[in-house]
Amino acid sequence: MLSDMTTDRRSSKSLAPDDAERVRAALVRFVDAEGSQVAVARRLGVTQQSVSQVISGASAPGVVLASKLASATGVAFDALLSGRPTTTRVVYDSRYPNLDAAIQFAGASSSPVSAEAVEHVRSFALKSAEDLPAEKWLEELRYAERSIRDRAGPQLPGREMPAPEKRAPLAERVAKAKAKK
Amino acid sequence: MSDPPSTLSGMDTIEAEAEGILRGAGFDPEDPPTIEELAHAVVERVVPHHGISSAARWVGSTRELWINPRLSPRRRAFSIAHELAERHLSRLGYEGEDVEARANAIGAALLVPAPALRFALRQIGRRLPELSDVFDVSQSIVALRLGEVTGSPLALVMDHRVAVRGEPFAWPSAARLVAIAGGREAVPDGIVVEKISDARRRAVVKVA
Repeated sequence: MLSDMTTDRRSSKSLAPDDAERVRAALVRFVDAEGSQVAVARRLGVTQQSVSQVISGASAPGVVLASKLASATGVAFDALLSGRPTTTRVVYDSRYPNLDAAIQFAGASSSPVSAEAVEHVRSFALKSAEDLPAEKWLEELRYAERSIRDRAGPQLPGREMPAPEKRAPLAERVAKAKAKK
Repeated sequence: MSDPPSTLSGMDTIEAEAEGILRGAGFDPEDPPTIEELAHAVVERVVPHHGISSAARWVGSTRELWINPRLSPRRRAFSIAHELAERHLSRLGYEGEDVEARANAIGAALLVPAPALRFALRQIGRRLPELSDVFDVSQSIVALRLGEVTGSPLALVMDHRVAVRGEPFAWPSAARLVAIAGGREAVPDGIVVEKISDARRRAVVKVA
């Protein structure tokens, strides 16, 4: 059934609006993780303009872009569109062998993690540029899955926290506390 | 839980390490910055990240710090302080078994440096709620720092755990301290119990 759906989706050139929106959201997260549209365009083998147009909504993502995105993020094509729990295809990446092992383990377990969780954790790895021990990655995958189920995320790292405002001098804070007392 | 709880050793070193971190970043321990200010001064990037399972995590060999934004501001501040202290210990090559406890102690000293606490004590006394507001930390941290900086023996009872600070004192066993703090056992002569108002089931047991 899954392969039929995959074949159907791949055979059509444009995606259904819901699918297109999922691909667009995944692309935005991938850009956040990679740091720039240029880096993502290079990874996907498309122009930066194509990436920009899809993200801004000026054009809808097609099947080819979705397929390339699925491949680059290590998520099964159909799972990228559905976001449903799936046994995930592992794209081996020599930089993250422990992560690949954890994804494979999670996929083979009785409670597989969703494509979105895999995508999130893979982005996490790309961003941090370090391969944690496999059990740590498995912990992150399970956490990401729980967050998705609780509708709390997961999210990629946010913008850098702005430099905090300088705090009031200690003497001033103490005087305030003294007055309150 | 039956042995008397022991205090953290080497407090002089801990104060010196914390003051060293602050001075090294260009801050005055007598008028300390917020921990976010300190983090921005010593870390390349501090980034909120909803997706991490822990309170905070270093990435890129401690160049960047990810912070879980779901934590309360005071819990977040303590997590940042702990991570900065742990990074400092790691850079010193410290590998003792008590590395987490030591990072907690140095982290607390970054939030409430000894010279700043002494100044506040002279002005407003030892009331935990006021000191907690001045340093923007939990009352538990203020209590521990009071023991560390003044040397007054005290035990912080956190549900079923006990942390002891200050000069050596003949404390009852940890189990008895928990019972005393919880009102299940009479308070012995020479000891007073102060409830902590910003955390349930926490109390400070002090020498009267």
